[in-house]
Amino acid sequence: MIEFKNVNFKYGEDIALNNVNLKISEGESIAFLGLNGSGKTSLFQMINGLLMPNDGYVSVDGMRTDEEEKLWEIRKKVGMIFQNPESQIVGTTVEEDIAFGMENIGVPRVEMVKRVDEVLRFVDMEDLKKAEPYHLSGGQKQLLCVASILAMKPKYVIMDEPTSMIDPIGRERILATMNDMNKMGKTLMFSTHILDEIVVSKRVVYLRNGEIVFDGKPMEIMKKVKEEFGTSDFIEFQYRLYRHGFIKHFMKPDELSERLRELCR
Amino acid sequence: MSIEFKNVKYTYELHTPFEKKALDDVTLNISKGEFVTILGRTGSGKSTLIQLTNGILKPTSGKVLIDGVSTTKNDASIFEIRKKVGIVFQYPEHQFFEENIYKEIAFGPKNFGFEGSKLNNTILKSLNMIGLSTSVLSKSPFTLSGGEKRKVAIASVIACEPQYIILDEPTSGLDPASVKNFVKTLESLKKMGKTIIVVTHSVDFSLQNADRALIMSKGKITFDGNIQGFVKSSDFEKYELLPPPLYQVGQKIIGFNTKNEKLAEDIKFLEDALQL
Ligand SMILES: Nc1ncnc2c1ncn2[C@@H]1O[C@H](COP(=O)(O)OP(=O)(O)O)[C@@H](O)[C@H]1O
Ligand SMILES: Nc1ncnc2c1ncn2[C@@H]1O[C@H](COP(=O)(O)OP(=O)(O)O)[C@@H](O)[C@H]1O
Ligand SMILES: [Mg+2]
Ligand SMILES: [Mg+2]
Repeated sequence: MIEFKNVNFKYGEDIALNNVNLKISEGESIAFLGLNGSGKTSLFQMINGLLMPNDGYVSVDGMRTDEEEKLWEIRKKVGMIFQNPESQIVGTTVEEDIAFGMENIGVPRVEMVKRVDEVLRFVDMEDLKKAEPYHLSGGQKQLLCVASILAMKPKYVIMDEPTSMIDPIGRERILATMNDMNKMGKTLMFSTHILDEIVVSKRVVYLRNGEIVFDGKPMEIMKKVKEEFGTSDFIEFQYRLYRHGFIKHFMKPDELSERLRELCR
Repeated sequence: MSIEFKNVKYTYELHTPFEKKALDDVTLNISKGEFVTILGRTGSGKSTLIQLTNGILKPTSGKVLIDGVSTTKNDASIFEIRKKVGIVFQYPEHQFFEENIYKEIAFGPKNFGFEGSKLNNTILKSLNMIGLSTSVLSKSPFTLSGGEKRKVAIASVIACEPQYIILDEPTSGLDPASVKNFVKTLESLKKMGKTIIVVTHSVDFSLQNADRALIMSKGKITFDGNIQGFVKSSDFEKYELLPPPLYQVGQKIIGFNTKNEKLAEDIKFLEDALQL
């Protein structure tokens, strides 16, 4: 479990997180929403100790991030994909970059080779195994970061706007990957500005000026933050169906079409 | 007055083992005042195409002409071209280097000869246009959140008052409220007669804003025309695009009927939204 207890955080004078309390259980998949600057990235960076609370504490499986000797263990458990993927790439080839993280946490050589292929297949970049990351386009770099993190098989996966730079087909792939990871039992936290993506999670946390102002079921977020965050046709349509009692939760397009077919029978 | 590509090819690291063909015989004409979106999968060549428009990249073969002047001409004409063609790059925040946002935004216009009150005015105007308050001016650009950084990058290009404004995935990382505001910004730029080219992954964005869409695949332009027509033809797969989620549902439920009044109402909502 990940826990935030009365967490405050400031950059100098600027309040970034304001009395955040949060509990994330194993196996959850949570979407974090909020306007630019609302504190999503700061919150994520607290989880693996990149930022430390000014007050309160953050703990991962009972280990507090301010206990320095635990940080290594925490970072092994928490895989993080940054908002700006470029800053995260260290290898001189794609395959090296993926291996780098694994090497750091002591994955045996034979296993490493296997996982490199596995994750590259996952993100559909097998043909770029020997490519230099510098030569990849933006979206490809982001996919590489996803692959590198997946290869380390962390228990918790944090993805800060993982789909913001990827084309829709690539995005479907990432979302499907996220779904699969969650099914495998990984705990997933991601931030997004694409409202349609909340249909892949069962819980949404909404931040405003560093405060959690909503934490609950995706369907319920609509009436709370629609004014501020806006909506989409897809979500609006489902919300109508929900209000009229035709569906109980958000669905992906396929699932929704199937449900409508049933209803029209 | 236009941006013209004549049989442009571009290959990265030509004559090395790493050769990578990124543009393959692109011919294109974008006239003054047009609003064009560019769609296409990651790696299809969109950013490459954009970087050819102001001479950052030079064609491996073929020609790029801005108002009739080739980007491979001498330095003086490149300077003029850069003044006319403002580009907001895909990761604009990588290019920040000034100590505060005022200086960051001022850098471009100053370079192009803006000074004194004219410089000040263009900075304030662009800041206002993009919806940032003047209180950010004294902050370091490195202390902003991702979306805020992007806005600064857009403002710094607008401040140069270019005729052609080209934006590479400008809305990725912006929250929906900011996207709405950004669309308004583009609308006012359009009213001012600016030519606008936006790379986007959002078919919705393209539908709502652009007159014309280019779709790229493997270094070629595979579609050039009216996006509304494109969406109706539903040729998404052929062009390696994905329909927006509501379209995916819409396509599957065509012809569904129901006696349930409420459900019929909801389905009507969907059909209206998609203009089916
Ligand atoms: N390195 C930094 N230095 C100073 N202030 C920062 C820094 N990073 C973020 N901030 C500020 O902290 C607040 C929260 O930012 P962030 O966590 O990045 O939000 P989000 O990820 O939701 O966009 C914003 O007001 C932002 O300006
Ligand atoms: N600096 C570079 N060096 C070598 N190859 C590159 C470079 N930048 C892009 N490429 C390659 O060129 C192709 C087109 O890339 P790009 O124009 O960035 O596509 P897009 O913007 O559509 O994602 C891709 O295959 C990419 O890997
Ligand atoms: Mg962020
Ligand atoms: Mg690009």
